[in-house]
Amino acid sequence: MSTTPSTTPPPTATAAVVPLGAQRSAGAEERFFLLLSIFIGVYAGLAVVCFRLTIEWTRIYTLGSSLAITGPRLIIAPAVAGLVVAFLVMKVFPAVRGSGVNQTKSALYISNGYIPLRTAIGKFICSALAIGAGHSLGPEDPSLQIGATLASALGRRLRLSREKTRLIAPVGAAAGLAAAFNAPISAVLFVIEEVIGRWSAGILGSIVLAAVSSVVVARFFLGAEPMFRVPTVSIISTEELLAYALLGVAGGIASLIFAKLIGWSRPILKAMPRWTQYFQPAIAGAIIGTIGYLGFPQVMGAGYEYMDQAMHSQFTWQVLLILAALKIAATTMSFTSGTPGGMFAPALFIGAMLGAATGGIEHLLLPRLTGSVGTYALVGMGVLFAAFLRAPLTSVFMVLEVSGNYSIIIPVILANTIAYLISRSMQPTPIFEVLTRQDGLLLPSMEEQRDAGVLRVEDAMRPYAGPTLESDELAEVAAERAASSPEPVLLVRRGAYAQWFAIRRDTLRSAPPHSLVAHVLPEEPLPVLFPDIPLEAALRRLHGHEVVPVVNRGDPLKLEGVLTLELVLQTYSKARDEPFE
Amino acid sequence: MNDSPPTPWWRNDAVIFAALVLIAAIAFSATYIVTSTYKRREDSLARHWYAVGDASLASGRAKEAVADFRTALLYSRDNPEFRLRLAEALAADNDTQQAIAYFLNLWEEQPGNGLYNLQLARLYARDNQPRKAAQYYNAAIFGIWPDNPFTHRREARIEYVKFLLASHDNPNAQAEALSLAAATPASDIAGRLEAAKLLLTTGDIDHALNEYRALLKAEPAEAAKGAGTAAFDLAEYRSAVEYLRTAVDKGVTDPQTKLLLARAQQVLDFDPWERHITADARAKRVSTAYVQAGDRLQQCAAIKQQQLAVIPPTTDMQQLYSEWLSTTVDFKKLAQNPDLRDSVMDLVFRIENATALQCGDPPSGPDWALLTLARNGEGVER
Repeated sequence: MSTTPSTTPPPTATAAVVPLGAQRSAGAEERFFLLLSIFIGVYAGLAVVCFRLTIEWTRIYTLGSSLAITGPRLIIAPAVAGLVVAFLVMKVFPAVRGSGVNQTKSALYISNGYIPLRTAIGKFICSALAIGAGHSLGPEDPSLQIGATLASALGRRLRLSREKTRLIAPVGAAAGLAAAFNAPISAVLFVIEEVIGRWSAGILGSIVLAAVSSVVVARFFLGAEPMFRVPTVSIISTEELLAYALLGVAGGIASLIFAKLIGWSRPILKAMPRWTQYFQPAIAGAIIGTIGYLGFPQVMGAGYEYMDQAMHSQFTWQVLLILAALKIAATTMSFTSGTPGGMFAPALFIGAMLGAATGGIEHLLLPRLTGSVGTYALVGMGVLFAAFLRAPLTSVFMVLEVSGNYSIIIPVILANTIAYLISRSMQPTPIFEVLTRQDGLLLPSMEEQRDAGVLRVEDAMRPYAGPTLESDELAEVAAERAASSPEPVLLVRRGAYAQWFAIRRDTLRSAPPHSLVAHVLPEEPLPVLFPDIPLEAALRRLHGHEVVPVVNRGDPLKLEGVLTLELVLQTYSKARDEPFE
Repeated sequence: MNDSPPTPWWRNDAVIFAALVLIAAIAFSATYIVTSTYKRREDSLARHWYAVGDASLASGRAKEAVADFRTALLYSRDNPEFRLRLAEALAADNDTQQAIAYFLNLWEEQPGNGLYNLQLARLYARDNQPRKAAQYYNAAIFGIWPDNPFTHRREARIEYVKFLLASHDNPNAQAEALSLAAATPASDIAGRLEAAKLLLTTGDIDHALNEYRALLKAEPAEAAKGAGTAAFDLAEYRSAVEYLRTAVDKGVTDPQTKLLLARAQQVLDFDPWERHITADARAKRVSTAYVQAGDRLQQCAAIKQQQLAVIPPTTDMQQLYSEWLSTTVDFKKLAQNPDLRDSVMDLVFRIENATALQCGDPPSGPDWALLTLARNGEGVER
């Protein structure tokens, strides 16, 4: 199901109202927006707290309060929840399918930041029911979407300018994710890395404020402890980094399998007759429940308590490997069946199990070399995050923040990088983009954006072939010097002010006798460019000028070359024919 | 002049922020109510599962207790009591590695906690890691115990001594037992008795005897029993008999004390050099020993299927038998001649030693008494 129809704003949504932002100056609106971000953070934080508690209530009432779940309710609860969720998704909240990340992106890029409030309500109810009843999904991505939806609704209600209305959804997304993860830095980075795709000073402040305020609210209600209690971490020796490198390889391969499985099975299930979609979540739930019934209830729900147990060496490496494999299967079934819920927690679960298993095996083979299994589990979480979700920078900070432990940064960076490179080389299209393409959307790929080379002035400029005239020389002398110049437009330098002017040869010739060049110069000097300026920015400065000088940053009177509109177009054309890798 | 319509009052920034604050306050209050309700439920579930776990552990169902305590921790994540009980349940379930992991987690938060150190010491001892066990036992002995620190430290040290004994590390066990005795206040009679007993067990018998002697007034029965045992081990059979008899007189009824008393008395009864006995009595004891040694020699030869009456003798036993046959035991001469008594007893001792070598130590009886005399030189009182 495409998310486009549901995220398209209704025609009356912005019509016939004067945007509130239009009443303020740009600076005033910036300040208003910053203050508003704090409120968005507070609202998102409160919503996420309620969301988390609802999941817990649901779990207690459907699966029971014991951690050691037994009996037929293991199968019945997720199956019945699947039926209810399917009905709600098909009949009441069609926009709540999926994790929520892509929906937030499509709000930003397709519907000017518009996300109907109903989506938040639907996401809240359906995800809480599914996750609480044991579907193998996580609460983070839904929290992100709930935050984005609340922010979008608030922006519309306050009739912000179009630009701010577009940007407000990512602000809410960061707040929602930060509250869910209890990790503001990771949330900010993820939204920058995966949703917005660029660092912009204008939006960064708002995102940070929203994320921090939501985390403060979440910590007030849920406690300030890190998500995982990690045993003391110490790297025994530098050789141990080899073990982490192996973990990176294992994580890269696991994430590849996970992504391929989702990418392959989702279209198949979506292509099945519509009536089957009422039963797909129920069947997925029943299968996952059966896995739990057969002795692996750890794969049900988000599974944070079991990640904690894995970190404390409470499973053998064989069990850990089985759990990782079963979680991949269970999450694939839950997610591709259309059950709303996130993939962050499952990715972390798989990573934790794989990491702890790798640690366990390495302990067995090289007891002298390896540190605590908990460290491996923690690094494994980051590895899957980097390789599966393709957010390498976020993955590093996420591990540090959820553990409150900064001593493992080197293994995390090493393993994450290896896993990320393996995943990237074996599956060039990131999972989020695979999903958007399957939905028929063409959202910008943040990874491609990050990788895309930036064309700069130095790529397009050419050397200036004419004489550089001085403003205080005689016009006749200057005309004589320029007589044989191939340049149709001559550049004049006014040294005292480090200004540049363009003048045609004819103008120079028609100057009164004995007059200086300065007397025939236009009033406005030319804008100047520097070689490192992006071509996109330079293009704006070219407007209305035949030629613009490119000067040295260290010496503004030294000419490096010139840039013309024609040169820019030629460079873009060439870049299109030879795209950047 | 501004032609735009005036901004409605409700679109004023101050009003908007006031409304946002009001909404936040209402939402905050609502969330607070929801959270409080959930936390109450969580607390109740945590207590419930903790009680269930306790009951499971008390009835020996450690595996179930582990699951129950884990569930309790799900609802009260950082509760140290729950974590401690879970670790104890894991230990009871013989899941040593996980128990160690849990106790280490607790230990990281309170490295000086005596209980955590003691539990870790026990687990490492069980896991055959004596060095780590010793490290944590020491930390437990000098650790922080919130209530009754002296008693807990003493018990930790006693346990450590027992661990060292089980590890056959007697020198360290003796040192720890001595430290225990030194650290026990004079008024703590039970503690001093325990320390003396440990000294005895570790083989530091001199110190044990001193401790028991010092306790004779305060705790006559137990101290006399311990002192008797120590004296017996030191081959001070006369003292042993005195102490053990006192113990029995004071009401000690255990068979081991009575056995030790009987044996000590038997050794004394066979000792021809005992003071304050007549020459006739000495001669009688030598004569009895001579006959007993001959019997022992023949019994041992029969067990070993060895002929004794062989000329010329080729084995030690044949040689001793030959000597035994050629020795004339005349009661009168024995009574009059101390040198003869000594030479006969020397033969007796050589026979007892040789037969013990060939046929093993006699478990009890006259031969055991003679062998004991043989091993302690020429009589216990000389």
